[in-house]
Amino acid sequence: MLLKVENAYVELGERDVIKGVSADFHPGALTGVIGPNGAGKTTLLRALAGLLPVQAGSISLEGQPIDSFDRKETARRVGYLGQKQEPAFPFRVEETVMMGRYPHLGRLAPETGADREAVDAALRDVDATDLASRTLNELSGGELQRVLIARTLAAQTPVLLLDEPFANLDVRHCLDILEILRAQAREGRTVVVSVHDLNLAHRYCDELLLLYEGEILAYGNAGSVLTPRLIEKAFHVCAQILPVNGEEERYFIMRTLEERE
Amino acid sequence: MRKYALTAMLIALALLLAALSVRLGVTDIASEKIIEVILSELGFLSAEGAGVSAHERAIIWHIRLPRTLTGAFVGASLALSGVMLQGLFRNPMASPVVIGVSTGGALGATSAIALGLGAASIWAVPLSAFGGALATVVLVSLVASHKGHTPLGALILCGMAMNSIAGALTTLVLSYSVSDFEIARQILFWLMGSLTNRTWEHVFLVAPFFAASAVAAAFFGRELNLMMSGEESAMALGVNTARTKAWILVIAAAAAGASVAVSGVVGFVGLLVPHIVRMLAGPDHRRLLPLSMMAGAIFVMGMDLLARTLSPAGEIRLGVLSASIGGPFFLYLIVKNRARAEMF
Repeated sequence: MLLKVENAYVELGERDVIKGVSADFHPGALTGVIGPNGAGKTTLLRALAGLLPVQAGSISLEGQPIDSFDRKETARRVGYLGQKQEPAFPFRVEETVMMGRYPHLGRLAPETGADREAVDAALRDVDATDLASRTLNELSGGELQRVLIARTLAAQTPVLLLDEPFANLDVRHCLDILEILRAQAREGRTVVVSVHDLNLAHRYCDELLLLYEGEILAYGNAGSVLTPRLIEKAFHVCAQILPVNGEEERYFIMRTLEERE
Repeated sequence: MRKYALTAMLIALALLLAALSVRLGVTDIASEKIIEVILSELGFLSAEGAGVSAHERAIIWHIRLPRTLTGAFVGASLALSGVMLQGLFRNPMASPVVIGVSTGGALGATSAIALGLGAASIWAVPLSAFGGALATVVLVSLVASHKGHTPLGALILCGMAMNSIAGALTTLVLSYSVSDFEIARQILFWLMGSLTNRTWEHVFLVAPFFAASAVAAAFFGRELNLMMSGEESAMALGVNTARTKAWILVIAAAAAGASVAVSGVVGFVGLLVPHIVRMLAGPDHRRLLPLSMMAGAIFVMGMDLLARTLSPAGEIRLGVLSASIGGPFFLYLIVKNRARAEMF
């Protein structure tokens, strides 16, 4: 499903946080949103999920404005996982993942076999099948994060938006999550994820969108976005790029600008 | 299996307490007579049964039975209100009394009495209690919630403020009314919480509010579950949070307001009961709601039974007993769960 942003402005409080962003997120592609703290990554993702209104410009799904759908219709199309999730009650893992099926369920309608299959598949995807009957308060930070990703996957939406889903994850689970997201993209989903680690972003993302002060500084394939010049401009650091395996992969070493002097 | 065991146990306990509540009292009336009175009043038996005096008939049908039923409805309503508020504020410390909803309801009720509206229509007091409760709960959610998150501190402090404001205004209403002894006496009643002298009228006042709240609440079980990781997260999963919140506030206020209107402020039911049931049955609101209503009815019927049988010197006020038993038990729960406090 094509997710299209055209010249969007998004306000938070009194301030324009997103200023004239345009982008086409295509099915089958994993797009990474990168940029320094406060660049507007979270705000952009929330607007893409229809959780924040755009003041000007538009966001559309397959040509239909996202605000023309009601909440359930949006949630059947777009899965969103935000940062800082703090579950208030000790639900079991399988109950939590089943909550992802909410937009597919009628009021008071019982869950069906298809819902349970979606939950099982999502738990398998994040390697959390053995956690199914644990309660949320018994999980480590990383386990909880994987369960919440499973909840997002369980909705089986054509579009997936994830805001820094790597918090609290160790290296292996970080890589696993990116593998999962890439696999979801290969199945034809439109996947957008905000990433801090530029090495991971370069290695896994088909396209990168570099945000700086609410505007797009660069947008395109990973190689064209992650150049020393653009990295310095956006992050105010000095980047040295080491090629790995010829030119296929790159390794970024960052230094402060003072360090370079 | 365990699932049904708890439900069956609660139903059995509720029936047992209802029976005890009708059976036990200062006047000892045999069980056969009680059954006979109930059956004949319901029209299943000819009215002139042998051996039941008019006095006994009055005690059973006009005193103990309405009192028991009012208690059951009050307990179920308060527990229902507590579950809804805890789910909405994502906070196991929320309850009608803690966040000031009951006090707001009491202010509404006392104002209606002081203005003489109670004499105009029997619905005036419960409707004003509902209005007071609703105004309080809306204010609390406006003040204490920010961007869909309600920090525990903000909620408790806001509840303290609402309790002080509504309490002070209630005292103001009371101080203007002391010249009229009857009105002052009625107002004092709200402040203490009691089921003394409840009649069928009270049963019919609280029952429709409770029934409507319970039916409406049943539609929001899944939404309450989804609220657990915050409003935005619920919204992203497809919940129309604005509409859902409005409904939950109205339902919680209706249930708490109606119970306050017939029994005054009875504390700890809405806080304690959902807590205990959540520990036994898990946090799924689709189970938590009905089970808490049953447990709430059991709690209040039990407390009321103790309140009128414990002391030979005379009745203990229900609100007093509920707080003196519920309070320490709640402290015990906090100590017991301190280690994993943030998830409990």
